[in-house]
Amino acid sequence: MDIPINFLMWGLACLPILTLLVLMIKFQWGATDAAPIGLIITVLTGVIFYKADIKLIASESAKGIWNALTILLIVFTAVLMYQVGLEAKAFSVIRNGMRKLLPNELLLVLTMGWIFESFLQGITGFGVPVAVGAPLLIGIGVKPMWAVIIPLLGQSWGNTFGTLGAAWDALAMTTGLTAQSPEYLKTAFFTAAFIWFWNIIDGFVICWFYGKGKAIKKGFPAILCISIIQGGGELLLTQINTTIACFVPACVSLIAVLLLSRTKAYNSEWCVSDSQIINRDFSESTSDDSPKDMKLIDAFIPYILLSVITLVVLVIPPVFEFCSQFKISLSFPETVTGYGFVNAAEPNFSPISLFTHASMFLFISSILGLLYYKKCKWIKNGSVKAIFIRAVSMTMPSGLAVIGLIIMSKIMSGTGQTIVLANGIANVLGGVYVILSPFVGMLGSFMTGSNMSSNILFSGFQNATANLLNVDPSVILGAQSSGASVGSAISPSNIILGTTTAQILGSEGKILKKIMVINVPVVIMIGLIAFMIVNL
Amino acid sequence: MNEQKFFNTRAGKLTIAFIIIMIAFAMIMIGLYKSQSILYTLGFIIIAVAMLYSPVKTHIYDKLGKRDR
Repeated sequence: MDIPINFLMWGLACLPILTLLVLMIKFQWGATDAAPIGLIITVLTGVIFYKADIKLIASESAKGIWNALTILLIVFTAVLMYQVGLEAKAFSVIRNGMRKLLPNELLLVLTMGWIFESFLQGITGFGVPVAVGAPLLIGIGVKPMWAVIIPLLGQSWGNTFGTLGAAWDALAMTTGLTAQSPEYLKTAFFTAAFIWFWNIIDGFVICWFYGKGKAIKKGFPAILCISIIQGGGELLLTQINTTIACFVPACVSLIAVLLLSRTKAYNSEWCVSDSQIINRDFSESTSDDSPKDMKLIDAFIPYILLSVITLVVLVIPPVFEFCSQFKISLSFPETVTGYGFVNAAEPNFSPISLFTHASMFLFISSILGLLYYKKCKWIKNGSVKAIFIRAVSMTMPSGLAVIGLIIMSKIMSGTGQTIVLANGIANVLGGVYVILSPFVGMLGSFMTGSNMSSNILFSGFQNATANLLNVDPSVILGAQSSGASVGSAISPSNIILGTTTAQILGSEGKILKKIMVINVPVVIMIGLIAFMIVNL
Repeated sequence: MNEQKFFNTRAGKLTIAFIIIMIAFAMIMIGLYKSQSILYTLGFIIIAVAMLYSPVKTHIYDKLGKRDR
């Protein structure tokens, strides 16, 4: 590769991301409007300055659309599940039932926005916790914008070891870490330790959003308990089995919260009456529309089915092996830029495993839920068509944004802009780069919407830079993946999943602004801790 | 909601843009497979135009329309 790494080339590689941030945060454009502008800039810089030809641009665009389709399948099926619940008025039952089960409103918000999302992230991932969590929170009276922000934060700690360790495996594979080797365990340890730090902050931030200092004081024992289970449990399990390192603690925390609700601190009604995140008018105006004969367990049927189906398929090895046989993939030819940056030919690009894909679990659960509600007469015969039409109408606007964002990240990566961006930072900063190493991970998941993609994109680079700077690669790789985990909460393609199901499409900029003020300082802190560790 | 009304809404128009992008995606794949540069070039141009529908409509067309009124 002969791409000149200078300020001009680095600045040009930054330009699409800066444009996206300025349009979304400063001018409050929705992602559907901002993504195409970022994409056009990426194409122009790619062709004019990075010497990409039209074949490369077209090929990367097609790869982007293929990846976007896998995400859109999740969006559509998550929206479908939401529409099924909405039609059956299950959310009213969930709201009333959960309020009775968890009379402490703070604990209720933490359960529905952090603990349940952690559980979903542990098994499915790919944005499902955000898409599914937002309507559930709206159902208990949380304002739509906060109903998107809270799951985004709540699920993010589980991104590296969640989805049964997919992102972690990508890091280990890219950097050549052999499972259970001392380097492997050390890297897993640092990654989990940084993530634990983020996990505990997650809990306190949600409390702060709910009721500032008063809620932090009330929520302190619960946060401590849940975080020890989730973050501490994950840290411990990474040294035994990374595949279940997030899933098992997430399940245990679900049980723990039910036990917590029986304790003296949380077993009675408690709320912050002027909480900024709760819509009190909503709670009062919609309290009577729930079907009288629907129990809480009935209302949760699609979610219970989702959990059971996902667990059966992903955790039982023979079932998983059988289901993962059916895959669809595309092949792409090799492309090269004028600077000799090669994108190798892909005979099986990004295969979709039809029966182990999260969208299949969501679809089957939605359909079974729909049939169950129909059988119980909570959904009328004529409503089925309307449910599907509403699901399509809600999915389509976000479709264009997701496609635009993913094509943008593919073209940036395929033309060499991504690698220039990361190399430029490392070259200029030298040893201080360690502080910014989690930023590179964050940048990766901001662009691609995935901790796994960020690890695939940057782990090799981070490993090489650590060796070049003569610092411990385990710490840098830990910072990479934890930064990517934190960054998953600010990824526009994840945000849009929530704004779609919360029906506030176009508010992505506002949400991004609210979350960035938390995530960026956390990433700086992780960087500083990493810097101190390597200089000990 | 009948079909004609749906395609007059913003969601409906974005659905049309999405369908156009899917057609262009197929054109690119066929173009790459058969090494037909015209096909994948055209496919990419169609994607770019369909993608730009939303920002152009919201931030140029609608704003000009308001100014004229």
